Amino acid sequence: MKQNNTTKLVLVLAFLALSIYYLQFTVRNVLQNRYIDSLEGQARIDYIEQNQESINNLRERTLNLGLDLQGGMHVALEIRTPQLLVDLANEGTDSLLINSINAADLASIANNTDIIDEFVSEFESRDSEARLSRYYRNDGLNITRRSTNAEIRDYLRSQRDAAIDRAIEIVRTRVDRFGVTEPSIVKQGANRIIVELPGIDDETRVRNLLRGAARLEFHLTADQNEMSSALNRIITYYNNEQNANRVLNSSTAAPVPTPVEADSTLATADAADADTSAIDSADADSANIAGNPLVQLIMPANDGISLGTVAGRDTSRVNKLLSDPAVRAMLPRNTKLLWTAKPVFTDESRMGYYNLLPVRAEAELTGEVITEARPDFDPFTNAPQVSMRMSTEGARVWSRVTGANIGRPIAIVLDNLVYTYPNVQNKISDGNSSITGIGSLSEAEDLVNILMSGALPAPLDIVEERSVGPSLGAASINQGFTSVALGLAIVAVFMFIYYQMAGLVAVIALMLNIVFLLGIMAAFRATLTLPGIAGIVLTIGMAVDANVLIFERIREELDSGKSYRAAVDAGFANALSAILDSNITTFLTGAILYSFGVGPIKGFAVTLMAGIVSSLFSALIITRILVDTLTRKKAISLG
Amino acid sequence: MRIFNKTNFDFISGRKIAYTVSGGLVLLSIVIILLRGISYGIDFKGGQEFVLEFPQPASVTETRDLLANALGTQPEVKQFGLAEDLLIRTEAVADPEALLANIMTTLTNANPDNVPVVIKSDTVGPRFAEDLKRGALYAIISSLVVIFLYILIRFKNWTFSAGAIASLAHDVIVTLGILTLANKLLPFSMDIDQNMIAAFLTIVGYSLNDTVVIFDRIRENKTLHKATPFKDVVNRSVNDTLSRTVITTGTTLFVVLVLFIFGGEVLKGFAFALLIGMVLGTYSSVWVASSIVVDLQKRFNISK
Repeated sequence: MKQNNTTKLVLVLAFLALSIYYLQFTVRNVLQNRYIDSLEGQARIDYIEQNQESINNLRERTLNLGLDLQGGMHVALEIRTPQLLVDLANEGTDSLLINSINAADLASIANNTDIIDEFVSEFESRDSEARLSRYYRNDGLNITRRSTNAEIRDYLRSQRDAAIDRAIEIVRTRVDRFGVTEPSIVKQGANRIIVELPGIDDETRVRNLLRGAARLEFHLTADQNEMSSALNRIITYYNNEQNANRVLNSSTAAPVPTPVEADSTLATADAADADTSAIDSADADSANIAGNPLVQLIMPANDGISLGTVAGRDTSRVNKLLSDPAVRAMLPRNTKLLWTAKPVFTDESRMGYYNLLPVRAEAELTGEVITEARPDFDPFTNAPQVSMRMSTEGARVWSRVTGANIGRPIAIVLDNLVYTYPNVQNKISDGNSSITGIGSLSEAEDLVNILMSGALPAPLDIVEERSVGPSLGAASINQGFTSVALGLAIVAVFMFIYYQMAGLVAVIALMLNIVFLLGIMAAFRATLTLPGIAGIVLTIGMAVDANVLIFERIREELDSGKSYRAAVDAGFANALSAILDSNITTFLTGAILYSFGVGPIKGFAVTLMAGIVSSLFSALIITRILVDTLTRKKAISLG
Repeated sequence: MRIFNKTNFDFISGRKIAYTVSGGLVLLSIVIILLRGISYGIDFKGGQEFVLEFPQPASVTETRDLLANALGTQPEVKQFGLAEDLLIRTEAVADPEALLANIMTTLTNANPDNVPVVIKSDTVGPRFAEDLKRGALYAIISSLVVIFLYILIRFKNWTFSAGAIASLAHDVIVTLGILTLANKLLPFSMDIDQNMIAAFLTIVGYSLNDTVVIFDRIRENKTLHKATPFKDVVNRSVNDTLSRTVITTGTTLFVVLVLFIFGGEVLKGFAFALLIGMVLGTYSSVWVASSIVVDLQKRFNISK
């Protein structure tokens, strides 16, 4: 027995030493941060500079706090796979392909399946003879005209994997250039990226930075005369009230997910729309009665180039009116309509108005030719802008395009939004160009960041975003600590009153238990969240359970007439199976919670599981040692 | 000190009472849930949630009217802990950024002396919410399956599994019923979100903990007293472990109460669900789970 206890004691001390070793980084980090905060001005900068390495070192090994405790931003981005499928079709698209992609998009949402599988089966169900190799070709990967649909499916999957990996790299570059301490960027499932940014307080900037696809394009504007006659035809079409009703009342879901070029263009501009779809349809109803909806929504533009000017709240309805198939057929071939990135003016109720600009569908030049971009100021107006330099090849094309279009406007388009459309003054042969119409210098800096990190393979949509301000985080930490301390105190007092000396043993085991719990978390680099603190508090309540089981059992054995020594042995032995079974089942629920939960909930599951492991250890080993020792000295009582 | 000393309550003979009470509670809860519907948080329904902090206390009704006017929809506005903090929730919109800008402009224009700052914001897209919902459902179902199997393996008798699962289902349904009933009556949110799912799984875990301790004692007593009728063995076992059950539930309830009072607004609903669930869980472990085992064994004539 004695020998056995020595082994156990060594084990406990080793475990304790290990926990303390892992936790001291956290304590030192807290102390150091406190010291840095107490320094002022230059002294502070110097100190940080001199101790950069040790600061980083400590920070890396400290117990992580979740975003809900330290404040920050959590974003889940999803790659727009339908767009990717369209872009990958390097042999051209047709309505069969587009319809299959659209149907697959809806089906994958409804059935919770992979959109690529749905796409292949939708495609085959539409035309069992047709082969996907008609659209997709990649000689390097041996995807040829003879490839089977199954091969194409695997090819598309691998391309999507590559696209998401590339997107992660680009997002990482952008975040690094932006300068965030300890960002976390990880892939989730087949098509999502989770970005965690501690301490971010400018959500708008980050949002634009993350989802900007950085597709820079230079477009010539569409022919003026052709465009105005098309507009007249469309207006006439909507003079027929039935047409207007049908289009406006059609379900909102139908036209939006279409990944066709023209439509995704219109969908992008939805960002400018502040309204919910509910008001949309309500307002639309009243508009019908009054007359032609298009005339009501579009004001004539003042620049002689744009199709018209539309209030921000109406852009989505205009999109709807213009994406009707009959209307699209009236537009001149090879043109598309794009919204301006910024409002052209703002009315007294702060509603922004945007121009709708017709451009030629084919871009003259794309962002690939840009070799250098920098934030800058317009020498005349002093407004912020982004100056760009092109490659030799790009400069040659740019010189030809500008030379052939003197006096005509060229639209500079980023992610399907028009930033500027200046008139070409003269032929530009040195490959210089600039994006103007930018709100602030920081916006120009972010644009440069986006342009220089490379273009995303497909647009990213924000599907989840959570942010917590630093003040709320700090309050949560305080509340969490208060709860832990109070919970501990209440349980300790109760245990001492109820079990006296043995209760004290349980309390010592409980204290060590908390140290072990935190030590385990620090060692595994787990993240402490607010629900995680709740998990610690629960562990405090539950950790005494094993002790209670043992003590109650010892009391029973004593009641049945055993000696103290025998009762202790029997108590531990008989309580063991109950302790193990009950803890294993709870641990299993914790593990399930961990595998399905996200973010803070994962933190809760982690503390729950760590708490069970450490409380099993402390009850079965620490309590045992203490109770044995006290029994030998006949110093124990169970009240 | 001892609370219970050699108790000898006849739980098993009185099990009809437990069945009536529990059956009634479950039925009532189902009716409440069907009538009022489960109120989902944005995690499972999609939407936006902003917590605004004002320099001075802000009126909930006034803010709600202002925003309903400006947004054209009826947003949910609630107090978030302090009188200075308001929680605003809307349905999913295409552009949450513009929505927030609109909210801030409206509130600033209406009351230039009391301009709020955003201290917390959550946006969940409808598609993402579907995925979260599916994940939560899988988590609950798989935890029940795993528990069933574990008990089946450890106790080598399906009646124990059935008893445990029935009492767990009882705890979850009745807790959900009470939350649904109390949601609009109490000043903090009890909507079903990810935190609540964590609370439910915790309730399941801890209720099971009590149940397993009792089952373990039944297993032990059955081998010790082979001649005693099974019904009496079960009753003896429940009484043997009663003291432990009450003490453990007591300490756990203490700390959950601490969490409820001091844990802050984010954890209020979570702690409240745990309080209810743990009381129910203890009751059902003691009285319902073992009663079901007795009846099932009698019905299927299991004498093992």
